[in-house]
Amino acid sequence: MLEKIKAIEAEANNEIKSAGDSKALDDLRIKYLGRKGLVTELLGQISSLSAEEKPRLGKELNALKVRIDEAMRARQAELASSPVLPKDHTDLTLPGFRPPSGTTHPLTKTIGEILATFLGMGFKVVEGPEIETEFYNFEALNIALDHPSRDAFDTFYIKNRYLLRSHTSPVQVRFMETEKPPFKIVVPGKVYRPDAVDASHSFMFHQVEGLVVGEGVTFADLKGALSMFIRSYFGENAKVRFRPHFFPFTEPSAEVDVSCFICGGKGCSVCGRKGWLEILGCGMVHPNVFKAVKYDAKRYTGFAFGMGVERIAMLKYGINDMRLFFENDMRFLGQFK
Amino acid sequence: MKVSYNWLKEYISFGADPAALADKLTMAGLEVKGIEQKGGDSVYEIEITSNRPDWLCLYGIAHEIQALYGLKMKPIKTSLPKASAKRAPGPSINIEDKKGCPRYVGVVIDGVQVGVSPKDLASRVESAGMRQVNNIVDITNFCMMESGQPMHAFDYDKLEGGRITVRRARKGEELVTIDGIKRQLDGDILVIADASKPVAIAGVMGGRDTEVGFSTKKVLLESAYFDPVLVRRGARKLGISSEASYRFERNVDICGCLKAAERAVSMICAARGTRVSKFADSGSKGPKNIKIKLNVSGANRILGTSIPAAKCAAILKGLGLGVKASGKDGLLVSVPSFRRDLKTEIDLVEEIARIYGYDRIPETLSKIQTWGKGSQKSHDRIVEEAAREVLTGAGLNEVITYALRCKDPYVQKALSIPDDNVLKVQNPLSSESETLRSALICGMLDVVSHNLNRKVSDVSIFELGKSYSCSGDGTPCESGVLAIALCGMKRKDWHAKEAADIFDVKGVIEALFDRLGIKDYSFEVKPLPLLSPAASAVVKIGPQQVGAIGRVDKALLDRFDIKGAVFAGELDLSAIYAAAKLDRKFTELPRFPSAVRDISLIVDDKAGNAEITGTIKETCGALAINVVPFDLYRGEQVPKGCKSILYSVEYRAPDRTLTDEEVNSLDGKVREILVRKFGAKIR
Repeated sequence: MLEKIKAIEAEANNEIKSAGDSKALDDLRIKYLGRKGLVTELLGQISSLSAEEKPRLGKELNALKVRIDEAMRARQAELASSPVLPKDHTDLTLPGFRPPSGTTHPLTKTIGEILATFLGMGFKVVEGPEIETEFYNFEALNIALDHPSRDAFDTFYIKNRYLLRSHTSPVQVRFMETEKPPFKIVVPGKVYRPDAVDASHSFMFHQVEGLVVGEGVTFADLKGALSMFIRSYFGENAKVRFRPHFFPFTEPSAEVDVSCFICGGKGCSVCGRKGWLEILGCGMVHPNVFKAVKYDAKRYTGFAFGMGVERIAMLKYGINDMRLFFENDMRFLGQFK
Repeated sequence: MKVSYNWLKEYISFGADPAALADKLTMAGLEVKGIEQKGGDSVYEIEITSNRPDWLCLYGIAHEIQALYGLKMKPIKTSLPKASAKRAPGPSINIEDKKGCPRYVGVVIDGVQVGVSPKDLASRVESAGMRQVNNIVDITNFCMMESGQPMHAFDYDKLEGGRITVRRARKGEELVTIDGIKRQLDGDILVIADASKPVAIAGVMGGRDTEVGFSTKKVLLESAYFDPVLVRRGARKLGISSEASYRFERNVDICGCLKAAERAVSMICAARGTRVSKFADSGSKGPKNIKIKLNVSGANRILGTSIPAAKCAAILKGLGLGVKASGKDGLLVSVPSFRRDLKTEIDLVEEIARIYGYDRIPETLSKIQTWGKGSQKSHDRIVEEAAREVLTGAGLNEVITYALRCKDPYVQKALSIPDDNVLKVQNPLSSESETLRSALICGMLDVVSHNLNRKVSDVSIFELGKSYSCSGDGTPCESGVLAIALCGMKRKDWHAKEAADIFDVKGVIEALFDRLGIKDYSFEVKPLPLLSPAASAVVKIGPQQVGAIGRVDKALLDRFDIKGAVFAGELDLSAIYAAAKLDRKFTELPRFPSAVRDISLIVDDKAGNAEITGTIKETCGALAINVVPFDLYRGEQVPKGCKSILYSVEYRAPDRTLTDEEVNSLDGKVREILVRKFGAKIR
């Protein structure tokens, strides 16, 4: 009897192992454990055994029933996790058909992200011409003709004293000539300066400019708005510092540094070991600028700021050469999807 | 500017270590860009903004330290030899150009021994980044670094006639400057001349032949004030920038000329055997201090602070200004001549904010409310953003190319743009960027070529940029352009491979017009410049021509060394802005079903789709709501010069379900007219 049991178990295990689907398993269940199954049949023979063999073999047979059942369940689970592929199955390991997807230029993207923060603060986006006059590019902005401060604004001239704007600030003047305070505007755009092209210079680049004018606008408001921008753009842990500086069209003026997010302020090659990255220039609108657009400088105050888009994009994306923006290599652009 | 930490301590005692002082100065607007350790000293590299010439010397920076730490400066000691009856008269000085040189102090020192400077003097001069020359020149440089007043020493015996004239140079005059370069002078340049010839370019550089050398016995020391604009123009014209011109063009203290000269003389005359003449001091002694009224609460209103009047007064005093109370809330501030940058009240507000510390000013949010004052983005900007969405969604990458390009006579000629209409930069960096582009196509082809050269063969790009021109009256114009270029494969995977095509350009533009609610557009087949006559069309909105599409002509591609086909388009954005309708209105969905009939025909190749579709629509009136071509085929089984094409026509009436009979009758009419009009064979 015992040998029979062993033989049945070995056979069952073999068959279960090679069962290819659940139908085959069902058949095996009937074959071994069904009403007329092999194990059931042996159980039926127990009554004919001696009194001392009866309990031992009975126990043994019941255990066998459980083991076969377990083996079947295990095989069933195995089959469920690796189903057999039908003949007409699809090889889904092949790459999918991707819909076409292009990308906006990283500079467009950066401008959009910068504008988004200011739009959220209620600013309006305003644009202006790239070809400008000396009045809008310099005079109205309190930049004296023969002063060294103009050195920072080397400019491409076209004929008839027209020029390519060297900053986006002329748009401030154009806007104020036609609109009345209060307002908050941001101005994105291309600007031009005769800088030979290298890894960190370009004769064409982009700026985002901002201007807020109204009654009671303060330097503290300037700090608040720009700190909010920097934290929303560079992360809430970014530290900000305002350093006095000079710009002809603002007073008091400041340069704004953000704690270097590469080294966390400890000093690295990106921040020149200073722990700070210069991000933008700003200040309270100079009364002479208000005078140029016939605003009452006693009644209105305002703040203005400006930043270089390429620099911010380079810092944000870790781009080390400004020329990449204008070469438009598909492998470069494709990284900004 | 290089500034020695140890040297600063000669003018003010302070406790801050080099790092702490650097930080303090940086946060006051004197940005310390770097610190160099040099034999027990720290030398700062400080960036001085162009509005602060008074910071271009150590005494000026000491002033700043005095204000920042509330300290007291030490005076500069000057001990002149006692005046004696025998003292020689000063040199003869004649200022011809009083505007160019409002003040000139000259003094002659006899019996000097020119030699190498003592170590202390030499190391001071070198700490400032200047090379040591000889004791006399080094003293003038030392004094310049100390007080900001540039000085020049002449070898008096080499000055013809022993006198000085300050005048404009005459055309044709020349001068070999101390750097050994012969300079051509003219009437724009202010010079110091002796009896016959220029001996120095005023405020810029001295002449080689009259410089002080080891054989010099008599020195004429010059300490003058030259007009900033004149110095700047002269220096620029001659292409020279010197420590002196740098300071003069930013304005030196006209009241400080004599004091600086006295300080230098006292140092030169510390040597035995020297005799000094009287000081000749010609011209103005400088203006009086100017007075500015400061309203303290006004200042606080601008800054968003509440700095007490007493604190404001202390700050301004620390900077060396005279301060008196004026009224309940005012200060009357007297500005000495070394701070000519302070002209109006706002200048004082900045000084207070700077010294008080920008970091102590709170951060607030402006109360300016702008909600409801119109849209935050202009219509044009929204249209551009929508265009970007459509184009990137269609798989195109946005590019940004240079607006400045080299001259391109080939393209200019092809587009028949007269020379006068091309905007040229008068001061270009190079011929590569001397004109403003008239069209975007060349920049697009540059990008294609750049990528092909790097084995990137599939290029689908667009640019939203500007093109530039010059109108007849000489006014420059700029106008927005959308440019598109496609080349290589638009689909390439294990299932299918499909090359980009002119119909992709057309399709993208149609999708764009859909997105922008532009309906009445059309494409008129027409040969166009720079495009292949086999595939080019004008894009129209209504009757207006708004752009062009086509396969780029081979001759143009050859110029960019591009081998494959490139399909391109340009659209005038101003027309797009005007035509775009971004508002959407819901239209009731059709209530009755439509019926479709297909017509398969073989027709002459010359019969265009527009004509056939037009004919079908005309025949059926409003009942044919859609006519769509399918299965275009040319080749075997189709006679030469013919094409096989299937038109699927969808019929629907707005007010009833069309019966089979009605639809069949329309279908029959269509078939009949196609046969009659185009000689089509219906299959």
